[in-house]
Amino acid sequence: MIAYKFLAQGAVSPFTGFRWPGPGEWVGAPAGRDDAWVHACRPADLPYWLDDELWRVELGEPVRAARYQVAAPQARLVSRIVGWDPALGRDYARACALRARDLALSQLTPALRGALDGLDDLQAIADAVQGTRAASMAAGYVSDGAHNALHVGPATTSYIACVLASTLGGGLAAFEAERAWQARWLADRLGLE
Amino acid sequence: MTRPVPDLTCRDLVELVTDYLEERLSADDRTRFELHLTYCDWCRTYLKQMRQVLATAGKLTEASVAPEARDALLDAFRGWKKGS
Repeated sequence: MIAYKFLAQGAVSPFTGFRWPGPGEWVGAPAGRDDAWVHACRPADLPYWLDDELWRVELGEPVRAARYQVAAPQARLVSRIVGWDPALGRDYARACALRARDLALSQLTPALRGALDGLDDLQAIADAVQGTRAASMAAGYVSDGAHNALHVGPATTSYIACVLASTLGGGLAAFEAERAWQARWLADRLGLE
Repeated sequence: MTRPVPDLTCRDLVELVTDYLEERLSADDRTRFELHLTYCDWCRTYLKQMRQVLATAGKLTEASVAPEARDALLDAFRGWKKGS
């Protein structure tokens, strides 16, 4: 099965520090350790696991599907998806921050809604909601989203948009629906199927 | 009440970090632990520091601790258990 895997810079697993060998070389879990299988993403899982590098990977059978990821006893890197780079990460963060603005609009005061509607400059959005965040949780998330898109990165910004969606109603289902929107954005921009 | 997001708080992560490093978390808990790390740079740094502590301190034995240091530590822990 072909899947995807985010890695830290230098093809390093972000949590364990394991450095992956070059493309083509299989990496496997110890025998009998199905809890140590290699994890990877389906396209729908990508927004949950953002990191510096995105790789196309081949998973050895059997592949176990789980919530937000798949796992297999062995895997190998196939090729790096070079379209996932800092510039696309910034575009994605911006898209997520604007989604947060749109999700929040119905919860804001008419004056703030009017100020934000159609405003797409992130600093201007952050400035517009500054001072109102204490009075409105939704405004706080909009401010955080714009700030994080400008100064922190796509993983945090996309998470903020999802938390806002869940907070406005719908809980986990709304959180996952926002992740699904983000997955479509990534798949479209990266040309994934 | 249903947790609104499939996630841990930073406080949860700190409480679970030892089990994570010793591979004692269930698959679901490990997923939640790692989901948190994807967007929380503070916790990612904390995990890295914990790995460094284990790599360094894990090499120490009881004989590595000087008698004065051992006595000071024992005093401190006795006092801590008394709540002082």
